[in-house]
Amino acid sequence: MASTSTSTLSRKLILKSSDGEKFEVDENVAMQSQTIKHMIEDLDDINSPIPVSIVTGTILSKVIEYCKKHATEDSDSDEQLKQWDKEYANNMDLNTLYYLLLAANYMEIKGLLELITQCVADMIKGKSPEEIRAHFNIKNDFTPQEEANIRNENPWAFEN
Amino acid sequence: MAEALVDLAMDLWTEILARLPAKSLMRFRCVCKSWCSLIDSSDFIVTHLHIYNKKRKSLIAKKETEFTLYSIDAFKKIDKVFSTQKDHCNSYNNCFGLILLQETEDEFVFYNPCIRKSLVIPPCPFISMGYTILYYPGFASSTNDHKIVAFGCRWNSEVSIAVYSLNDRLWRIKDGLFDEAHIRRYGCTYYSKSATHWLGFDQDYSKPPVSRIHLVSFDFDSEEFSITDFPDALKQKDSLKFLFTLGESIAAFSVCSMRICIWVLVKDGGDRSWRLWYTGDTNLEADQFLTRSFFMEIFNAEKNTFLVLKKGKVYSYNFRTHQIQHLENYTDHNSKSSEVYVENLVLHKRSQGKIWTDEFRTVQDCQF
Repeated sequence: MASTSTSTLSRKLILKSSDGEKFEVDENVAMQSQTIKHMIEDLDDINSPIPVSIVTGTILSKVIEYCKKHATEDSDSDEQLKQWDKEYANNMDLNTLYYLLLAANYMEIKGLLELITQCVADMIKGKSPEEIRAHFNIKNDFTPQEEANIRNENPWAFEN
Repeated sequence: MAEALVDLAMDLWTEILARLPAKSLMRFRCVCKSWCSLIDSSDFIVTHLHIYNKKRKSLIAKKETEFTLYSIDAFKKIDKVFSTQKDHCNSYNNCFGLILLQETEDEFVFYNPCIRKSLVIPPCPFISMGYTILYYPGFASSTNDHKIVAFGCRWNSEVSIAVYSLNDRLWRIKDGLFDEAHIRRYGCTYYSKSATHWLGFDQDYSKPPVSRIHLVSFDFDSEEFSITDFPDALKQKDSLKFLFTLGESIAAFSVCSMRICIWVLVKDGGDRSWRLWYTGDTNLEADQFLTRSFFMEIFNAEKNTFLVLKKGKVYSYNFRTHQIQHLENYTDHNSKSSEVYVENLVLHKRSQGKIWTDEFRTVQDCQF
């Protein structure tokens, strides 16, 4: 008969998003998040849902997608994983990237935080200050004279 | 979509901006006051140095009056960085993004190509003493300070040391005299974390030549010399091929009887010793490739490859698979070495300098 003893390797955890959606994930997937790792250590009953209070279900499912991919270490080569990361990030709009960034920061998932910040950096690298302000709704608090002075310090940076 | 990133905390913006090239950052200083003060802060300069350059190392090479950047992967030309007007202008190793240029015999500037700023270095105090001077630039990582060490050689084989600190903007003469043997050098200098290294030798001709070679290191944090003997295996005739920088350490590559060994210099407290990091058999083709002389030993850690310059061609050599790949021709180059280059924002704030040349004299000729 097949053994009925359960393996301790694949304990399941339930994560609960801010809007009440529940996700069942393997422990090693959830442990990619330092925040959850610390929460589990303090938890008596791991069967009760773990609240991920500031992250919505839509975003949490994306976070879990990333963690699942990165939990299984040896299935892919580094090169394949990089390619997967690239496609994963390229499929997000700026709004999603923003919430993912907040989620990665709150859940302390270093790899995801690096991936998203790099993705935003690549998006804004070639933009002008005006485009940055419009894009992110940042108020220009320089006087025209102050701004001109700063531009004149590095005029070459404004040429193509 | 637009309002999304508005209330992003400044520490997350730091994470994003630290991944941008210097040119974008110089432009984004005028986005708003908080971005400007973030980019100008000394903490950010250090953060940027580490984060931006983690993945994006390139190589810089000088030919006559021109500096050119190459990609470390394929040795493709990325950009012509700048050119100097004087072709006799000597350039020393670049260290963490700053190039030490010798304008005249006594006049040096620290030039930062990625932000096009330079700083005139006050004359070394040894000049007025009539010493023969050797200069080496370096970086002290404990204080994030760019330094220049000057070895002043006197007639009686004694050496005095002066160190210029960019943070303090001044030269300090160190107490004590050192034996001239310390600064005897064979070949190039190699940089690892906080130290510059070179092959030293003693002139005791009673010993066989290979046993006279040792590693001399000058540490820019402690501002002290240390001398490390090589392991016996590296002292066999013709076995040591070259030194290189492996991560933050200095390493030695040897090939002997078709066997490759890589040794890494490790520091254990005050003791320094060589640890065998890799050993493996090579094949006939690789052995022939490696035993002939070549220059330029730059290690690409991501790909396990060395960039090798041989007869005007650049190859990549993978020491694990022994794959040899011809990348580029290198004929437009008269210097044997390229160096790893990183972008560093240091010197970009005018207020940092007591002695500022607002624009480097040759910047106008620059073609970006």
